[in-house]
Amino acid sequence: MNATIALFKKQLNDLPKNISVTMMFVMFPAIAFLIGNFFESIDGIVMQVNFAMMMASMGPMILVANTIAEDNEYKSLRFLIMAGVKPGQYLAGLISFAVVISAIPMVAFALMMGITGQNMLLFIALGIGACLSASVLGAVIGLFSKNVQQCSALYTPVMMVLAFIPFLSQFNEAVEQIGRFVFTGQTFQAMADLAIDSYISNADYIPYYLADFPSFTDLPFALAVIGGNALLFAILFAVAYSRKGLKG
Amino acid sequence: MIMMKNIVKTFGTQRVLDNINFEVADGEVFGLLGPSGSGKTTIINILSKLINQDEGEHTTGASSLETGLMLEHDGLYGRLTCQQNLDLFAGIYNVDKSKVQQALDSVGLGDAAKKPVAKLSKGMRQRLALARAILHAPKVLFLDEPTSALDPNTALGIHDLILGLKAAGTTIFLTTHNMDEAVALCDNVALLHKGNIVEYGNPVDICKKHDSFKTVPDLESVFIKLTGTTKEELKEGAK
Repeated sequence: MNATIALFKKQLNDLPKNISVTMMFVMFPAIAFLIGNFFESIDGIVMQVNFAMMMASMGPMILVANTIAEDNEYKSLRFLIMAGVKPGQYLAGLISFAVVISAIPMVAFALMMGITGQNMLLFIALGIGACLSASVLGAVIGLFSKNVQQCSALYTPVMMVLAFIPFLSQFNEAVEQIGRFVFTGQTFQAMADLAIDSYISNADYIPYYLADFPSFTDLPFALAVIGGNALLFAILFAVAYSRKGLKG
Repeated sequence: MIMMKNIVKTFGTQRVLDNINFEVADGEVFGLLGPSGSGKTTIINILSKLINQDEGEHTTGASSLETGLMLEHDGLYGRLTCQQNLDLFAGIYNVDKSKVQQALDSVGLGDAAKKPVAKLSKGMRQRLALARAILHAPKVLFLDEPTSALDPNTALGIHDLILGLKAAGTTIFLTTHNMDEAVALCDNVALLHKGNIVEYGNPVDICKKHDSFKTVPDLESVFIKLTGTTKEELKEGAK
């Protein structure tokens, strides 16, 4: 536990100095805020949901993958392991930090979309679930990266696919079917439902196309997909770790 | 007690360690001497369990928590300050935060505590790596070329620190190509050449045995005589 807390604190000290990663957590809420003001009514909110989902999938994944790749490249990991840090403690420190630091912008997203009360709690919980899945996937990518450059080459295509699945699902049925079983697809849909539900509750005027707003999301199914994805990535990590190890 | 018995290690087709045997008593300063490529770092990596040997057995008589390590790659976090780097390990070892400043002071980095590691000189980084290695008062300390990038004054300061740690009962295992350093610090040395120990024992006794003790013990001459290595090759290793 000492090691996990020490690593959490180290990440807390490091993040403000790691501008490229910090930007991920600042840029998405900032752009979403601006876009929300450009688009009228519900369109802006749906765009903001898109950004919230992108941040939840990209930010923690890049943070965890980059940290592991840096620790490999600069041989820091071997000193941690020599100091008795177990791989589980190491990952717990990195992933817990990534999830906590991602939850803060989620609150900002919820507030800017007017999501309050129980919907806000659900929205943040969905964000945390997505961040957890993305973090574990980031750990898998970090494990396969010898250095930061290689890490970027690995996470960029993964990130693009995950982030664009919800967007492309709106235009292609095959992608939509795939998106049903991917955490970003379910996160987007569930977050959008919560945002629209909050919008309808608060709006003075409800557009005709939202008058009979149906909930698109089966929430238990969405949570099962998000949790299932995290579990799948954890198994992938365990298999990769047993073959490759984490020795620095 | 640190012990290596019949250790063999091969990388690809190259046999880098060939039947290595030695023992280091508790509280001793032991020096492994040899030019670059002689297998010094491989021995430290095996003893610290970073890599496995192909044959033979070894022990350090200490757990990983009782071991301090300073390697060629310092593994420091460049964006963090000196203090933040040590705070991390203080947290892992569960040692009091006051020890961090003590460790920094002991290597002469007390005033640089808030300085980011990326802005330190190579010598300062090396001293910080040493501070990290001694932070938890380890029973066994592995030092890979502890003074290689330091100016003579700082190197002497590190020598004093090593002797102080020895006086406190720490077992110190160091590698160096600096023969004078070995004579000044080590109770025993092993001269390593192409993966073989060509001589082993007290440095003064070794010099006497090979008739290289004139006014001062000249371990470098012994090494050259035993291995056929030139002075240039030894200097090359020291770069």
